[in-house]
Amino acid sequence: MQARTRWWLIGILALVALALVGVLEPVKLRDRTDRNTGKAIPAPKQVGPFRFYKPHLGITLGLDLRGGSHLVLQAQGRAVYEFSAPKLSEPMSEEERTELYAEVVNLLPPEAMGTAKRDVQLRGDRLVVETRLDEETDVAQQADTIKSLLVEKLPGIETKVAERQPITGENLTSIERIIEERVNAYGVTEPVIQRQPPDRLVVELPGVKDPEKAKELIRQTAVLELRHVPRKYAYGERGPDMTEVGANRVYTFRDPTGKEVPTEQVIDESPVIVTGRDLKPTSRVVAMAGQQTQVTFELQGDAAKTFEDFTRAHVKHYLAIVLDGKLITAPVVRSTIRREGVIEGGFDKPGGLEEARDLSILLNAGALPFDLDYIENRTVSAQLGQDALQKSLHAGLIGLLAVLVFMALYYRLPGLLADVALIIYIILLMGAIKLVNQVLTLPGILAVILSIGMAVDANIIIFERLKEEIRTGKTMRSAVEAAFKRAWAAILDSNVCSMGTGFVLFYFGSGPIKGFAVALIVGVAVSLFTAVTVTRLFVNIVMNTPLAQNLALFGVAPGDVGEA
Amino acid sequence: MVDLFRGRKWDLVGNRLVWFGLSLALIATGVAFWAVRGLNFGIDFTGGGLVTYQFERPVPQGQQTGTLARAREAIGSSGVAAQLQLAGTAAATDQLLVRTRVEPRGGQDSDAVLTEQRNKMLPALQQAFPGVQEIAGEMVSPVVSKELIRSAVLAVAWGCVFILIWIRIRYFDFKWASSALVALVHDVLVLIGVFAMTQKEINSPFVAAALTVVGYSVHDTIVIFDRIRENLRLRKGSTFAETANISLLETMARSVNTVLTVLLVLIAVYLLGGVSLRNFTFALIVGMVAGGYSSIFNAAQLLVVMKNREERLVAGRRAAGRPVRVMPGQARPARRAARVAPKPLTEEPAETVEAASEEGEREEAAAGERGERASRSARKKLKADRKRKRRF
Repeated sequence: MQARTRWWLIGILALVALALVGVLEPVKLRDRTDRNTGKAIPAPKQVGPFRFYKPHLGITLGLDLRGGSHLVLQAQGRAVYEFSAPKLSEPMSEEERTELYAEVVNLLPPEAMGTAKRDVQLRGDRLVVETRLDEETDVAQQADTIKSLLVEKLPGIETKVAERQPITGENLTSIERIIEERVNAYGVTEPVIQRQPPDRLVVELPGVKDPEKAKELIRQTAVLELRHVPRKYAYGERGPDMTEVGANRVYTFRDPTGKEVPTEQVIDESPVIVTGRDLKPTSRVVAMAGQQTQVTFELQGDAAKTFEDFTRAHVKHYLAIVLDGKLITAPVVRSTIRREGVIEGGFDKPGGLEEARDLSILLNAGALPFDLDYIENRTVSAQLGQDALQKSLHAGLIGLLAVLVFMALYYRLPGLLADVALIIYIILLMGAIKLVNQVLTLPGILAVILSIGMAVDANIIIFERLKEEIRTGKTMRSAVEAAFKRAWAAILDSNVCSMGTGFVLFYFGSGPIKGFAVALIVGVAVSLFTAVTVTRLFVNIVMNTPLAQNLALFGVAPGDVGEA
Repeated sequence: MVDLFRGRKWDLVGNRLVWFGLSLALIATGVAFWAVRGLNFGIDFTGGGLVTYQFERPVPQGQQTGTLARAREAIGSSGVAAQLQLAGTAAATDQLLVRTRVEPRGGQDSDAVLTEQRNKMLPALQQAFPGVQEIAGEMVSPVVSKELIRSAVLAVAWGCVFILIWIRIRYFDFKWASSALVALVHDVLVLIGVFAMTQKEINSPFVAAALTVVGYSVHDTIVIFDRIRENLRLRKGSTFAETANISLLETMARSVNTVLTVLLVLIAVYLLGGVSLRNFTFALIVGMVAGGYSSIFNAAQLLVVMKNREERLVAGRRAAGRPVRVMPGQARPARRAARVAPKPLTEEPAETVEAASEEGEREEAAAGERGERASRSARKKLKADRKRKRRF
């Protein structure tokens, strides 16, 4: 064969080999875990100077094939209000202050303000209220609502600040960081966390064992608060009653007359001393036999001093340790606590150790500064994913076989050549998918299968053209030349359109659809390549053999030649 | 087994009213169904929760209604309002799809609502069907579904725009591009119509299928247009309609074969592939068939209609003595009715000589003053040229 043809052949074979290596990965790897199952890859076999690892799939599979969760979270901003009132500027004892706080809080239930969550604080002579910002929130209106609710208690109340605080890029980045830490600490292999400005995050957890738990862990605001229980509800010997109901501990507070007070109300009326933001990320779980399971925490900065002062002055008072508005435990202050403390008492039930561990993860990663809502959740079990993968591969193989047989029967010799070209096409296509680092989803596999059907088209165009050219009486060589030349225009135009719609799909589509789009685009690109190189190469090789003289092999009866 | 199409003298262009009628009938039926029964939108576009349960054993054909009723009872007793549906592969129906609404309420986001529903439904189902398992859960909040609808519409719109522009660039004028576009729209309408008739679920994959079909149908159409373009250059004697017909017949083998190979793989996946891909694959199959049909029977014919009108315009102008500029790809002035069978290539009836080619026209115009003799020699030269070109 000609030298040029030989070089082309070597080139194509080299590409195929490269693609196979990329896809099956029998080579030295950076880390020896299978990207799809997370398991370790067995030790390599030594063959001469080379080490071969067991072939495995070097392409990352999507969640719909591996099993796992695809979650989209939307962060909700805040509306912040500051009010002043003459009463707030009056000097007050601590008791009076606590009393006032309790009354204000009781006048501002979230529903009355049209929001799901609100935060109330007395800071100096200002009343600070923070609510969750939804799309429909009208800040001015909400400020007025608050004023009208409080005007009796705090006559002369005025709005000093009423502003929207939507999520900023920085906010989103810090949320992303916190979630990343939580997810990593939870131990998911290869999670994917991506920001979607302005206020969304995409989290993918492949192969997660307990999707529900993972979801909760991710989105829990994890605001830890140490609150001071008002003296009237608990002091010294008169602490809350504690009962075990099922797996939970229930605290019951009573007011001075002995009447039961709802825990939520107690918490509400308890001002916050220290929050999770003041913690160093050094929380640990201490679980030893014979002792209660503890979660340690360490305060930093001014908060340490504040806490020290507080505990020194409030021995025998009760603390409410509250996580996201739920009471975890209510210990009594025995002595001055300087910097380090422990949370204990709620973790000695079944499953308590896990809870303790979760809590320490949350404390260390930090509280989420904003509320997160799930707006999309697609979870597929590993079993379903496996099933889908196997079935679609099986179907693809059958389809491929059908096409191979059809081409060979209808186009005879060129058909066989096209079949070999098709096999090469598939290998190169998988290599290209690996090259662009695309995750292979179930629609992606469908796109690959579809591309197989469409890649054949280029060959069909060329071969039909070849038949026509042969019939006009050209020599085999010039017929081939003319066929490829003339067919190219049609192939190019039509494939550009397919690619164009692929790009549109990529731009507008979500996760699995993007996988489909990329596979389609790559499929078209590679098919353009193989149509001009591989098919041409094979036809050229055959041209130089005696086979070329037998027109019947090309589907042309000798009597047809010479038609003009 | 080779070449079923060679030498056939079908008149695909002349019969165009038949094809148009068929297409319109199909589309009209689809639209009627759409108007009456509406489309079955999945949670991607309506928002909501979709939970998939798997039975321990597939449900035999006869027991399906009964099983569905029992499932409805079980779900009803759990207090969750839901729509139920049985699903499975062609071989075995072993899944239950439960669709619920998940508007956020009372401080719970959509996901929390769905989790609550799932916690209620699973025990109830397990009582009625021991061994049943939850294998997948999906939730799309109304916020997201609105966006998905918008993306879907934009995607299809942009896809069509791109194609319109590309064809316009590569082919001579907007008539070509718009015929292709109308064929496309036809495909999408047929697809929607079929889904309205079968009430299969329409989700994001449907939009992907629609766009893929659009890209592929144009692919088909372009191959035919490319042949028409080539034949226009080579066969300057024929009318546009004739050229189009010939081109259609010449490319018939390829068109059919390509649709065939694509259908081979798609049908394999439809029958053997998993449940999740079935609607997607079905949409692709319907779309490809519609695309193939529209490329062969609609696109070229539409172009012929437009070009015929153009021909008449040109002829009219010429008759009125007004100047006529002949553009590449333009119709020849029709000297006979459009209903013509394709001419075999060896014949060359005398009349075609009168049909002017580009050079002939220019020469004619220029030679107008030089008189009849000059133009006659120009025509003779043309005839000789054509004879020469045919044999390479």
